[in-house]
Amino acid sequence: MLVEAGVTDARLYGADEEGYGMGAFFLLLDDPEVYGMPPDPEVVTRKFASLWGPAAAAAGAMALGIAAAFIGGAR
Amino acid sequence: MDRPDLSVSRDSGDDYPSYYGRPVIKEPVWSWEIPWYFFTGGLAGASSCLGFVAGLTGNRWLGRTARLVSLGAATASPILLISDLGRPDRFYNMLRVFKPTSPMSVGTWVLSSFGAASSIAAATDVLGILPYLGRVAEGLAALLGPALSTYTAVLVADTSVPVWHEARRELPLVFAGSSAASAGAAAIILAPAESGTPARRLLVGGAAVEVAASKAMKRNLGKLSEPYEKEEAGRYEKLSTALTIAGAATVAFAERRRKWTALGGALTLAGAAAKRWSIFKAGFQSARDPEYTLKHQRERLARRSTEGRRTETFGGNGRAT
Repeated sequence: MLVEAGVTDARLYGADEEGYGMGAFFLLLDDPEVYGMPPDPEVVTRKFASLWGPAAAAAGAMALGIAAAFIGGAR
Repeated sequence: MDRPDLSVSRDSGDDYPSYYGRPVIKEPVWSWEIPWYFFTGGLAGASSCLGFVAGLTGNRWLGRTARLVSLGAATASPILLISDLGRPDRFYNMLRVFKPTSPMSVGTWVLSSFGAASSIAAATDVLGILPYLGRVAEGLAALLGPALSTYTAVLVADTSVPVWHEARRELPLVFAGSSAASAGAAAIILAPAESGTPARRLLVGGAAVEVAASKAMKRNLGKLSEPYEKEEAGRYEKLSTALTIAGAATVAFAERRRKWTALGGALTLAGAAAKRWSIFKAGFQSARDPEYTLKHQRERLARRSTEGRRTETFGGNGRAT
C-alpha cells in the first residue's frame, strides 16, 4: 500500500532477523539514524560466548601468570 | 500522488545522517566509585592468588601480606559499590537473584563470596587459628580471585557502548594484566624486601601484559579507538602507560633496594588506576558522540549486505546500506 502511495523507501525496523528480533519493530519512512535510532542495533547480552570466553581465558592466564612468578625462587 | 515530505533532518553538519547530531545511546549512569571499584576488585582478586601460591611455596611473609592486601581491597569494593548504588539494601537486593547472563548479578555473587573467603583466610592466618578452615577459605578466594579481577571487563563490554562492547575480546586481558601488576606492586610496598622477588616478577609481567593488551585492543578497534586517545580518556591513557612502564622499569632495575622498589610499586599502582579511569571515560566519550555508534554500525551493516545476508526493506529498494 505504501508502495502504491509512492513511498518506496519505507522499511521495517527491528523486525525479526535470523530467528530473533528486538521485541518491537517500527515502520520507518527514512533511515533509522534520521529518527535517532541505530541503523544496526543488536542485543549485546546475546554475545554470551564472546563476552565471557575471553574473560575466562584472561582469568586463567592471570592465575597461571601468578604461579609462574614463583618459578626460579619463591623468595 | 506525490510523496509527502516526512523526513526529519538528515543534516547535522556531519558526513553521516543523525538526528540533529544527538547521541543515539545514553551515557552510563555510573559515578566515580566504579573505576575505583574496578581497581580495588582487580587488586583484591590478584592478591588472593598471589597469597595462595606464596603460602603453597612456603613464602610466609609474602603470603600474609598479599592476604591482607586482598582483605583490604575486598573490603573497599562493596563500600564503593554501595556508595554508587546509594543505599546498602540495593546491594542486598542484588543478592536475591542470580542471573548468569547479567555480569552485574554474577559479579555481586563473586564479590560477596570472595569477600567472605578472603576475610576468613586473612583472619585465620593473622590470629593463627583454625589452619584447616583458613586453607579452604584461601583456596576458594584464590579460585574466585581471577574471576573478580576480570568480570568487570565483561561488565563494561556487555553494554551498547561501542568502545567497550567492540573491545570485549581484549578488555579482560587488559584488566588481568593490570590487576596482576597492582597485586605485585602492593605486595612489594608492604612485604619485606627479602621475600618480595615473586611479587617483583609479577609486577613486571603484569605491566607488560597490561600495556601490550591495551595496544592490541586499540589496534583491533580501528577507528573506534579514537575515544581512548582524546580528551580525558586520552590523558588518563597516556598517564597510565607512562606510569606503568616507569614503575615496571624501576622495579626491574631496583632488585632488592627497598626505596626504589616501593617507588616503582607506587607508580605501577597509579598506572593501573589510571588505566581503569581511561577505559571508563572512553566509554562515556563514545556514548556522547553519535558518530561512534552510527558510523560503526553502518559499516557493519554494509559489510553484512555485501556478504549477502539480511536486508529486508519494506518496499524493496534495499536502501539499508
